[in-house]
Amino acid sequence: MANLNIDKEPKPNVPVHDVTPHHENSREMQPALAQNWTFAQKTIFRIVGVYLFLLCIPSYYNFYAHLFNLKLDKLTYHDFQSVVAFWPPQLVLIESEEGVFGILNYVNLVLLFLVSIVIGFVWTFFDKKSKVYDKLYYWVSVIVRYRLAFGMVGWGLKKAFPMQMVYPTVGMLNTPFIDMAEKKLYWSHVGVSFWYTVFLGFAEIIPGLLLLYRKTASLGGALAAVVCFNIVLANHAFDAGVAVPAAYFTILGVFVAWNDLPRIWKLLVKEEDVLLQRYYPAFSKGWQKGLRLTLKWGSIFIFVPLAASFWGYGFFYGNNYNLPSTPGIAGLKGYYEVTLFEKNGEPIAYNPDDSLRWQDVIFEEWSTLSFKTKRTALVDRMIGYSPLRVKGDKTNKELNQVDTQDSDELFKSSRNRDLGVTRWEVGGMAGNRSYFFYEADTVRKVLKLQNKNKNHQSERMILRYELPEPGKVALIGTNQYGDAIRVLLKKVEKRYPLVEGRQSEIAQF
Amino acid sequence: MSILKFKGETAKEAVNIWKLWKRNLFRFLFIFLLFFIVPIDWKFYRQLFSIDWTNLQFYHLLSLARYQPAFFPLIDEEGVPVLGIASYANWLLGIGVALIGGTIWAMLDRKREEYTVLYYWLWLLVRYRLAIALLSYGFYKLFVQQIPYPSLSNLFTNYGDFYAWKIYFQTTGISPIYVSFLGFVEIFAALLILNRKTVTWGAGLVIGFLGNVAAANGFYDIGELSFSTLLVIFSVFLFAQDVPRLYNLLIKEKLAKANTRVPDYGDKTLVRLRMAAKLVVGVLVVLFAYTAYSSWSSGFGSYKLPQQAGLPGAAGFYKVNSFIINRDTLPYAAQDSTRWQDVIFEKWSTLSIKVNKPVQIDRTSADEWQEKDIDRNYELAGFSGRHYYHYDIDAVNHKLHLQNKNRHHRKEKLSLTYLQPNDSTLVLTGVNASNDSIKVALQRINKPYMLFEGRRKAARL
Repeated sequence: MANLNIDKEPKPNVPVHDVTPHHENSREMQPALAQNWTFAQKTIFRIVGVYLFLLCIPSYYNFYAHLFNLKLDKLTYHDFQSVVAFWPPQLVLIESEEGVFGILNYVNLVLLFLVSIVIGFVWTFFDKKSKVYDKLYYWVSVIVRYRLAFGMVGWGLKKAFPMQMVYPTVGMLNTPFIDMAEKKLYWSHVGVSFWYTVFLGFAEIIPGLLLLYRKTASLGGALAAVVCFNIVLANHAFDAGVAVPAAYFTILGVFVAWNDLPRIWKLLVKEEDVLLQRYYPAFSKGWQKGLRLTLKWGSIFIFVPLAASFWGYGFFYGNNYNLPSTPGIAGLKGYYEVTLFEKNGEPIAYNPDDSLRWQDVIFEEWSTLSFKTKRTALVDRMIGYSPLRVKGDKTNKELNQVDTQDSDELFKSSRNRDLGVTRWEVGGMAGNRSYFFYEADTVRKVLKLQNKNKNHQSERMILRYELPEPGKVALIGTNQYGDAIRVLLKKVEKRYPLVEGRQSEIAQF
Repeated sequence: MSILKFKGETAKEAVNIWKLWKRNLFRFLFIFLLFFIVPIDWKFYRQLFSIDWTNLQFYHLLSLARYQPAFFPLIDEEGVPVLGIASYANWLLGIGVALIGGTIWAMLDRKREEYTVLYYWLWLLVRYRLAIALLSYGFYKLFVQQIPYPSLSNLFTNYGDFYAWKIYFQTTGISPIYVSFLGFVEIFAALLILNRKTVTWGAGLVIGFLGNVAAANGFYDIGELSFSTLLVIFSVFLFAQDVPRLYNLLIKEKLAKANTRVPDYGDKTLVRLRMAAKLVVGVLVVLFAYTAYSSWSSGFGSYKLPQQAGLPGAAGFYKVNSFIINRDTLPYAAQDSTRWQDVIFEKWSTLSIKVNKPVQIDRTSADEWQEKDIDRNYELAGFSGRHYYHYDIDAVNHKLHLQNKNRHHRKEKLSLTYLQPNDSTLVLTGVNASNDSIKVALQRINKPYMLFEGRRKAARL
């Protein structure tokens, strides 16, 4: 690809008024040279151009089905994101661990390239006349630029409005490091700092915006490639599962920057004067100009300010896809010791080896109650919204947990969405802390509880609650195994170094 | 200065008259950057001359390489770095000096039309200064010295019991390969900056890389905010010279004129100076690499961790099956301030205990090299939740002599007799710090953990 560049004058038969003023300016300095592409350049373009084009066109039915079934009065940020987060063509599906998580997950990026080589050679065989592909190259670049730009902005927005990474829950604050999966730790360490998350969001949004302007596109492409390449490596290092989409974006970024890089190299490293001559298409007819402007600014409007406002709306109005939105019982948030635990009328002493007796209880700000026992659980491996997936095959429970995330549909139908969020609280966590969603009847003082772990969602409890005095809670009812239990809780006024911070005067915990 | 000349016709071209604002800005920047580069703070020399070259440690080189003037202290008496905006206090001084100095200079040097040669010298100086800092931090990470893998006790610490900076470090630390890669990026950027023609590429890389580091320093209170920002300023200064050129090329799409400031090495003094500078950097690279490698390949892999091996065969996580104090057996209790909940023996001679007794957190960054194991505090700095003890083993009498490692709890000492009736059991007897006799039976727990099982396979944990 090293020779693939088009920085030469437009074809001689292009009328003068096609050329932008900049080009007239540059033409004075360098006489026009009509250059044909070499055979190698043409062949490489036929392969790489086809490859990039195919990478950037949504090629599965569900994408269009979703698009045409959009209900405009029910739009959420999810609808914007699912448009820009489409996958490149999936030619094969390797339903093994390595195929979903590991190096084999790259197979479709490679296969598609092989397909492009075949197409490229067939094209070469039939097309003996074409001398240059300036125009095609330009249009492929446009598609790649916009696809990458809106993708970067989309991924940036879920950090600029911190949803992808969120602040640790009280449950997490009381869970040892070793009881969390690597991905959980990696995402959480970002979520620990609200403003750092926002900062990372802009590290993706800014390259995206630069890509929208053709003169800054190569800069944006290079930045996007660097940012995404780091994401690829971090995803492998922390087994976070989105290495391939990030690699896909890296390829697009490199492609966009590719054409200018040799010029910049020549200017800065070889220290030669350089005049960059880009191909700009001619729009002579009024409708062409109109169409171009409409498409350009229409799509920019939809995927930048409009998408941003929907992300913002979702963030501020209870549709964070990682977090529940039903408020918990007022004033209960915190960590509680279990001062009494009775099963069928018999008190059981505190014992870290007991799989039934609760060791502690945590109420979150939202309606989650979690408690620690020595039990084990089949781990809920949904950690944030990620392609832990075998698309369309719901029967493969071994690898498929993505379809269990439906908070957005619930949100749209104004139903309680908490059991449909990504279960960020429980995903990737050891089973010794059980997380229950509860529906509170504050008049009759009854909690209806359901285990949040998707693999244990049949576990239900019904508990009556009493608040005898501030800081104390009594829970009486039936646990998930059908035993009658009575639990007395006393709040522990706990401070956390993470919450207080290193600059705080308080250093004793 | 006059030994530096530019090649051929370049010499003429380079001597364009600078606009007044450019001359003023240059005078300011020249003094401001020199304020940070030239070691004018005497503490630098104290460090330099206190180095024991027969026992050279990577940390000693690092502390020189990350020099910045600290007329306003950057660390308090306890060793805690000054955090947040306050860590920029010296910058105000630098700005003040540069403003006053620049004004005086402007008055004395009114006829001056340009500073082309001086600019080049400054540019050179900043390049070498930045490269040395990057090399030191690069090797610091390449050999996983800056961010070692979390200790077993750290892994068994609740998430909320970490300071944010420690979460950042320990999370990055669970992937040593990634840490090494980050170090490689810094070294690579340094090499680009040392090569005159690739300076802009290196500087661009550093702006992105250290821009992120500086942001993390600010948001996580990591403790090196002002230094990381300073390195970003250096790289912006280096990058700036090619900005008009790139703007011309990419945005205005006009003929972009290449750099013409190519030094003429006709002067022998200049050649010697250049050789000397390269030699210094070469020697530093060898020293950084050698000392960081030695530290990595000895002991437990980082100078931040203790060196002495722990009780043979004891490393692991233990639950406290029984706890007898003055003949009273205390039941399990999570909120009790006496009854131990679990005990961890590290591979090295550290033992940590979970007991509900407050910890006065060691707020330092614990990045200093310490001779003695008890002073190697990285494993406990920035954590509450567990109590850390250094111990010496008396194998003849089966005794452990423990001392609390935390600088705030050093007075706590205890001697315990140990008994290993079988592979998974340890019995400790002795007298605790409040003179009560204790007998503690420990049982080692071996079970799978989420962090190691990962999320690839279904797991029951």
